[in-house]
This record gives sequence, C-alpha cells and structure tokens, in this order.
Amino acid sequence: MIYIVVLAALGACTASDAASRQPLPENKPAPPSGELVVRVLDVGQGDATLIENGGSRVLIDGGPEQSRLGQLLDSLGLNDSTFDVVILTHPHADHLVGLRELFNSHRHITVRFFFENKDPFPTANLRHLRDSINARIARGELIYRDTDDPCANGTKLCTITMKGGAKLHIMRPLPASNPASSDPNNRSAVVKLVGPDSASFTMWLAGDAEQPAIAWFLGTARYKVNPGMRVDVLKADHHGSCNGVTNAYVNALKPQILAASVGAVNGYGHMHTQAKTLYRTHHIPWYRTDQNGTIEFRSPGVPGGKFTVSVQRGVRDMKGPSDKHSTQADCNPIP
Amino acid sequence: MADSTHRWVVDSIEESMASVEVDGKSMMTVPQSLLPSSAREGHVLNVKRELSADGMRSALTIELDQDATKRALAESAAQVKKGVKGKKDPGGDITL
Repeated sequence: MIYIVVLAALGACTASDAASRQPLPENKPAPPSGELVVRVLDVGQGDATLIENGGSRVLIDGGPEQSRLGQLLDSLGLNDSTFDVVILTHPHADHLVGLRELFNSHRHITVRFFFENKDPFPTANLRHLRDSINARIARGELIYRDTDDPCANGTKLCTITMKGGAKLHIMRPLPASNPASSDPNNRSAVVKLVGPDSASFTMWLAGDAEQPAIAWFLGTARYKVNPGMRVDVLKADHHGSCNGVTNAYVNALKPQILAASVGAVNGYGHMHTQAKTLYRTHHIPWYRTDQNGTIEFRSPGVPGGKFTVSVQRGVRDMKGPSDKHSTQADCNPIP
Repeated sequence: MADSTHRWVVDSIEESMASVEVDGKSMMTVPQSLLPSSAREGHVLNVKRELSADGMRSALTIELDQDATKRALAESAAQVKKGVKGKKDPGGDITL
C-alpha cells in the first residue's frame, strides 16, 4: 500500500517555468531516527537525489547547475552540514555540475566519502570538481573511492549502513573494457537503497545506464542475485529515455512507482513516448520532476510501515512539453 | 564584432543533439550535424568564427583537435592519480 500526498504548492508555477523558479522543498523537523526520506530533487534536465536517514545524509549526483543545487541546499537548510556520502554516477554535466556547489567554501559543507568512476574525461567542470576533491583529500578530510572498486577491496558491491539502519548497496558499473563503455552513460554507477525495514521500502538508481549496461546488470553482473533487483521504486534511467529501459529490466525490478528526473524543456524528447508506453504496459505509474517538482518518498523504517509519496504539484502519469517519439534503433522496438 | 576562437569539449551526444562545454565556462546544446562527423563525447574541438567586414556573413569552422583531446585525457587521468595519494582508506563496507 502506498499513500500519495500532493503538497500545497498548486498554482504557483506552470510546467514551462525553469526549475530555478519552482517552489523549493523545505526540510521538516528532524525525522524519527529510523525514518528514511528520499527526495528526487527538481533540478531541471539532470539528476540529483538526496537520501536522509537517522542523521546520515547521501547525495547521488548534483544536477546541471550550481545555482540550482545551491538554492536547494539553502531551502533544505543544508549549509554547515555533513554529507556522509556523495556519489557521482558518471561525469556528464547534467549530473556533475551541481556537485561543485558542495565544495563552495562559504557553504561550510563537509563531505566524508566521494564515489565516482574516475574515468578520464576532459571537461573543465570535472577538472574543477576533482581539484576540490583532491584539496579535501590533501587535508585528510575526504575518502575518495572508485565505483569500479566501491569497497576498495576488490569486491563488486559495497554496503553503506546509515545511522537509522537504511543501507545503500553501491555496485560496479559496466566495465570500462566493454565496447559500450565508450558512452559515459553506460559507466553509470548503480545504487540499491534498502530501508531500515527492507519490506517497507527499496529503490533502484542507475544514473543514465542504457540498454547495454542494463543487459550487463541482468547477466554477467548477476545483480538479480546479489543484491537482488526487486524494488518498490525505480529512478528512471536516463531521464525517461527509451534507451534507458528494457522489458527484462522492469520485469526484474518490478517497481510500483517510477520517478523520472527530467527538465520540462529538453532537446532530447525526454520522456520518450516509447518508454512511457512500456511503463504503462507494465502498470508502473510515474512521477516526473518537470511536472511534479521534487518527488519525496518517506518510509517510517519500522516493520509493517508503509511508504508515502509526496509531490509539489500535479498528479501521476503527466505528459511533459518535450516528450517525443525517439527514432533511435534501440527503441523501435524497445527489447 | 571581431573574429573569435573557442574551445568546445563534447560533453554528451544524444538524439542528434550535442551538449558542449564552451571555453571551460558554460554549457551549450547544438545540433550534432554542426560538428565534424567523427566528433564523439570527450573530444576537444577548435571553433573559429569569422565575420565579414560588411556584417552580412559569418563563417563557423569546427575542427576536431586530436592532439588536444589526447593531452586533455592524459591530464584528466593524471589528476585522478594525484587524488589517490591522500587519506588512507581502510576499505570495506561503511557504517556511518
């Protein structure tokens, strides 16, 4: 059972407004120790997911703009705070640039662990981010891990236990040696979030992983066996692109709800109509940040507890102004 | 307005659109058809814009710079190695 709540921000904005003008989520009083709060943040065309549990804080990706993540840090009261774990799924700008704001000195934010795939990539944004990481490492403030070796001990999966009992399993991405890894999307790290009561809430987040990476998760990587892929919520791979989903993928995940992080005005046609048709066929309703604003999941973290979904505006299964049919071969049809 | 030169780095290509980082400062989305056909994600491009004196014509030349791409990738790899020499990581699962 899922409870749906629409927050009282209706009428404040239209779908075509830029993310920077959308109402900002506010942090409610400190949650009970076991409560898990997951926010798929409204960052425009990009990804940023904030996870809090028992005083621990994790951020997966930072969205496309420093200014937007900065607004969210302000509104959520996260200056002068600690991010225990930050994960950059892959180094594309729409996932990376916002993370630079965490290292802006006036914010006084501590980052304890930083995970990324450490692939060489020649953008200045990545260089600046890694400069900040290296400076913190030099001061002994940060541990820097490679998602290809997430536990720094050769195992393919690393488990992070949050103070309230929630666990994150960070999994290796498609190996760099795979020909499909020439596309940085396919080098996206994979995270499975398991609530303090595993029967109450689970979520799968795989950045922008496309069909070759998905096939590897299901095959060689054996993620169906360990840590298991069945979840309550799927963060749509690749902003709802049709190349970020397959029938076998959703059959393995069996999510009750999809959360897509997508900009209202994007030149890529996200969410693709083929992807929406597939989700509809599998009876998976979706929320999307361009139409619903920040999407918030809360799980009480106690046995038998039910998770709730809250959005800032709108309803489920909305259409976005950029949604288009893709002509990609991978999508016609989606395997 | 004077002629100008720019450095673009291809951040991503999808659905015939390319997202490029311009002079290390800003992001711009351009049609992939404007780029050299061999341009891929992570490539460095030299961009030269020439304007005619009468203000009636502009010409944009976008050239893949293979040497600059190799250099930039090597610098990126070296930067990561530098970060590895920091705080000792005991490894293993993490309990926060």
